[in-house]
Amino acid sequence: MNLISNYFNTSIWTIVSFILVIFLILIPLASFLSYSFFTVDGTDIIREFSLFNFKEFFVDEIYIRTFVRTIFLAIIVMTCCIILGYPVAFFLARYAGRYKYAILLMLIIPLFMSYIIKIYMMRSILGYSGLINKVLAMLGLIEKPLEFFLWNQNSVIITLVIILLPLIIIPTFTSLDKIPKNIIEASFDLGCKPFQAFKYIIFPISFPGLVVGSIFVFILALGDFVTPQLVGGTSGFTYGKIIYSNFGMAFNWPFGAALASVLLFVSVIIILLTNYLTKRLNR
Amino acid sequence: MSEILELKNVSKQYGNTKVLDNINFKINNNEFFTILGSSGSGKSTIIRMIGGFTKPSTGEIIYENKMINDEPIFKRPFNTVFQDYALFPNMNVFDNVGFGLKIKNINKDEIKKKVLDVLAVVGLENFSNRMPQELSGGQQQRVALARAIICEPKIILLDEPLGALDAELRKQMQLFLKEIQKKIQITFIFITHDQEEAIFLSDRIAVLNNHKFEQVGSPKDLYYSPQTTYMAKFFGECNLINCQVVNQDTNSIKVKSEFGDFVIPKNNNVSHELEFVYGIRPEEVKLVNKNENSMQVKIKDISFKGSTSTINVANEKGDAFLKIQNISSNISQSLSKGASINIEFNTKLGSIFTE
Amino acid sequence: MTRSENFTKYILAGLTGLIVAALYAPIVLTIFYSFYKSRKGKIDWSSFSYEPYTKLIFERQILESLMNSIYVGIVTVICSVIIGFYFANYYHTSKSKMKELLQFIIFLPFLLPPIITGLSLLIFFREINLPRSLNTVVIGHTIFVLAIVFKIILNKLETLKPSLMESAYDLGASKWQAFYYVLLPNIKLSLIIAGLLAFTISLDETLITLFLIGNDTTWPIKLWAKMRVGFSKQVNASVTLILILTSLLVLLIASIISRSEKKIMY
Repeated sequence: MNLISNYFNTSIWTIVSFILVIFLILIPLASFLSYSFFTVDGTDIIREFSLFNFKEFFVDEIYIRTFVRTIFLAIIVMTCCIILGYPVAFFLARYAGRYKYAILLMLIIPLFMSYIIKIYMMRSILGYSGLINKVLAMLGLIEKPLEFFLWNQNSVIITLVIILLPLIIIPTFTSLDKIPKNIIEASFDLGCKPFQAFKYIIFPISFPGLVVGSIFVFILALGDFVTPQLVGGTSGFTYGKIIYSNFGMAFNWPFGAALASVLLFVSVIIILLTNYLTKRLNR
Repeated sequence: MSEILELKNVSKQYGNTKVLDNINFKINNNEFFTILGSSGSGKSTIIRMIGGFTKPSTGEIIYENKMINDEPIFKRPFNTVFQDYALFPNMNVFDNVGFGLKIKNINKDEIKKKVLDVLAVVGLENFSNRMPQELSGGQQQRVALARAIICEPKIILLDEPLGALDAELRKQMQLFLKEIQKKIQITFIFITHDQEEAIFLSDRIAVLNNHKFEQVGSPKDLYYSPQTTYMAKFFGECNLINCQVVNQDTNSIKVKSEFGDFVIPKNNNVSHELEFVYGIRPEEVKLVNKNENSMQVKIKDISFKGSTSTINVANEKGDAFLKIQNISSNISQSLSKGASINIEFNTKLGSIFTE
Repeated sequence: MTRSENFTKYILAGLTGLIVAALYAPIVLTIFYSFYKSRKGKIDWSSFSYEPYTKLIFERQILESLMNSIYVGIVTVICSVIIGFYFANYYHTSKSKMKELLQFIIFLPFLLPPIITGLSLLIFFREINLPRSLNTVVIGHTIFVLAIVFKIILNKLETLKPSLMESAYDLGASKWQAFYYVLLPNIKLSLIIAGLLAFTISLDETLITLFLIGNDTTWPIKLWAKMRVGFSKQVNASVTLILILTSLLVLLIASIISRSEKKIMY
């Protein structure tokens, strides 16, 4: 018998708490899923079961193509975040000494800083007369401002990486930081070269943290609809943007719901898969 | 002495695992009662059932002739000193000790007076403003005890309270506990896995083995009249010898053993089994000159322990062994390995186990 | 340290520096533009002024959206901490197998793309005829931050020894007394940390809010709307103020955490 439970652990409270969760999380999810089987007629929603939306999704190849393209986009963002984030987390955990938490904090703060502003400012950094072009021109590397950075896929990737990077650094750092120094020393003692120590000891231990961070980045990049719209120009037509526009101007909620349910399906599979993988690795 | 608490046929099961099996005992008023057992033997569960933190699966807990199985914790006139002390880290020593009184809405002046009194009893009168984490292990222990005493419980339950202390401090706290129990005249139920501690502190000891009580009695009872071979080996060492009855009369039994024949006094407890195990402490084996009751054995080795020595011996055939202790080193020096000696048992202090 | 390891160290330090710079670049620029003007990409160094900050008082729309955001943040904190504590306590003490399921459900809105949480609540509110308002935003934010609040409080509860509450009961405390005098003071810091974090997240939440907001606007939504027409310097000034507030909140959280870690749990 645990005594803390006595507070509210009358069955009434338990029931209330479950009702709360069911009403605020499960029923909304269920109603959104059921919407994906409805159709619209003008502004009226026809509440009859129909696979019309899904048929549309598969028949009109623009949706599948956008979906696949968005998945690729998210994978690129995730890969960039891993490539940039892992070394930083490694540096913090291994070399930053007593400054590690201070630097980590510096990396965390931007995560909470205005999302919209970051996107907006990325425009003036990446743009035709933006900061990057100016710096490059000043260094004499380019004669004419590059258009490489704005209103295309690249700008979406760069912006998302800037926004999401802390999310991969934090969990990776946490798992790297847990590695006791003497484990690494022991591996040297047993004849490991630095790279071998990294390959056989450090990387495997930090892997679960890296996976958690990567999944966060991937899912958020996959579902983001504001960033592509604001910096992506014509190539900002990502899957999230299509979903959102069905709830806005296009006003076809059932179709938006159907598109979103595909996104939900993919996300849930990825979450479950990660959960399964990290549990197996921890064993 | 009047009886204060009784456990009657108490058993506890978690799912299919039996933690306690048919526990029976009675505790007298003002007694220092110890439950001794190895870790995992279920000793903490007994105290938790008395304190009300968990309920027995079957059986009754009787306090002053009333069944209290279903009495909630805060209604029981018992207080617990936890193994990890469980001091409230958010309160200083004064507030920790005064907590039980504050809960009862006793006025502040009275609380203050009582807390200072109790802190004086445990020798911490100058520590009332300290936070628990600023105290040493022994001091935390005293605060935990003071916190229990101040509620004036009828019984204080101590769940291995000295377990976390180092050897030196442990000795000090044992003395302290014994003194304080005499001073405040409250029944203590104490839990430990340490035999020496149990013998030193207790009026009576219950030995828990394999989820059951092996024996309950005063330390002397347990040492000199163990009822099972487990008990014989549990306290100190004991030579166990397989015996067969050769013949018996009204006063004595003559038995045959691997070491030879010997005579033991007959007392009423001895059943009429023809085979039994005879237990004799190593220090109750005496070196003697050959006589009609003595047995001849061969010395296997002699280990020097200072003023006394310990000798291991074997029978003539070499298939049975005995340990002899407390042999004056003066004597043992004149003995050598392989030599034959004659021994005799101090049969007044031997035990017979039929099982 | 070998020479090659030293080399690695400096390379990594350089990379870390670059990344910190990249993460802060948009923020620093915003602050910069709240003081200086630029024209056609050229910065006018003589244009320094505090004026946007003083003029901010007259920007009713911005101030209103700020007040809305703070209202949403505070109500979100209250709701999420209470519900989060209840669930954490339930999870910590219950032996029921349902609790794993409960945890999974609580984590769903946090793990799924925000767009899913946003539109499913939008559809649900429409189905039950609940008009969109700041309160629907509060519900969305509460569900979103609940997982974090739950986890922070649960972690704290798990560090408490069971004997702590048992001894309170043993000394005669009723369940509310044990809660008030023993449990609450000992988990207080985790409640504060969870609350501050919930507030910080709520203040900047955009993706879910976009679906749930009615005629009012919260501050990020106001920015989103203003963005199409370009930011005025007053907007930049308001952003600067909020950035300072957020950084202070995060620093406060960090200092509480590091201070509570220094306390020796005996």
